[in-house]
Amino acid sequence: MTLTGQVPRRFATARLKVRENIANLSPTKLNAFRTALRKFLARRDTLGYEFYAGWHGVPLGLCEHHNEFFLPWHRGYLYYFELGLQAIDPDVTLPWWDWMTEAGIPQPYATKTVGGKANVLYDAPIAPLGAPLPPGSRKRTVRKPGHGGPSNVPPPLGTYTQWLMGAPSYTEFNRRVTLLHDDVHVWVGGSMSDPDWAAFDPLFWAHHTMVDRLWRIWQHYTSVPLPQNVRDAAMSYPKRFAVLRGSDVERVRQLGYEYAGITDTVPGTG
Amino acid sequence: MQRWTSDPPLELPIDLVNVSRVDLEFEELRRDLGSFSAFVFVTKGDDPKVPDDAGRSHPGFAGAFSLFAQHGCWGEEGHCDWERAPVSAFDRTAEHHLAPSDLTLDVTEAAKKLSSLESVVVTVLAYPADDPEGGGVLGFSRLTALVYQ
Repeated sequence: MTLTGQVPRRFATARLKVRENIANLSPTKLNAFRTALRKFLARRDTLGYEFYAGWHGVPLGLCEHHNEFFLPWHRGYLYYFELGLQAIDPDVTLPWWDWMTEAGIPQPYATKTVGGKANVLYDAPIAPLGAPLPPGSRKRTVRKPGHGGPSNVPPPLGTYTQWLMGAPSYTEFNRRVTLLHDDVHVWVGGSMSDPDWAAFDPLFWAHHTMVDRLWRIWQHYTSVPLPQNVRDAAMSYPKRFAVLRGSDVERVRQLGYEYAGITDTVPGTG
Repeated sequence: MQRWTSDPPLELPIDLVNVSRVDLEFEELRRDLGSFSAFVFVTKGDDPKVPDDAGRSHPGFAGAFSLFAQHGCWGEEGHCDWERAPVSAFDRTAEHHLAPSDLTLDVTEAAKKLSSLESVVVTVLAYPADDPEGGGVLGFSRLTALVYQ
């Protein structure tokens, strides 16, 4: 027997989007992601990739690190960036790089060309809006994985999973995940090792989506709420974007996405 | 590589048997000197100096950490001035994103290998991400050892 039904429009439009592991994206989804990113990169205005990349470092420098706003600020940042990408293709979501289990840079980001064309995930221009680059500075992102000296901490970082997920408080989880986050940035090296330029590298988004995912998993395990001062704090984004408070980004479903493999949702009893 | 050694050694007059955790807290770690990764070693005061090429196999190895930090300023004038004073008593501007922050490392395992915690030497070997041979990336105001019973 086949049961069919029509989902009311307001439910259909509220369907959560799922962020997936880049390693498991189907060829079709990976191609759609690359195509959307290419179009995003081609825009030279405040709806384009370079504008969003400039929030983190040059020219706006709004990012929060090494404090308790690190996780919520970046969750909001990913949210706005993903909306920008979805303005080009509404079905695309940000994939994550599972540096807890995967050694090295994920293959979709590591190859210079795909099908004879430049791979948009390999590198990107550094062309911040409204901030001309000084002579001699890099015009494109570069990576130097593992070239930062013997003390580099390379992925996979899975040996830290229990330690990370065992954090008993938000403050402690934030401290622990920050250490792993910094390890990955510094291990990748090149543009990724400097907050001014890191977000221009397409790999940045997969890295931070992983950080966001780890926070989501820890929230699921512990149900520990954000501290009140973080819930109340208003985080800065460019003017035309709504100020987000910690409480606005605390639950990912409020932002329309999840990491679990949700396939469908239907109305309940009403 | 930049080397730093605690001088004088840290005094920790607590019986090892009663220690459940030892943290090292780097206070006011600078975030405007560039990214780096570092080895941290914990040794006794009378142990030989940790060699420059020491790594994870050294008996005093306590851990490695990285710091994601800005190198150079490319913004408008004053953009990187994390030491700026409030413009008035009513200035509610958030702390500058480059203001120094604290970093805490749990070094319990390494500390417990020592036969005594009365006096420990902490050595940090820091490698700049851009130029592992270089230096000038590690800057902090104090190192504090927190020993929990």
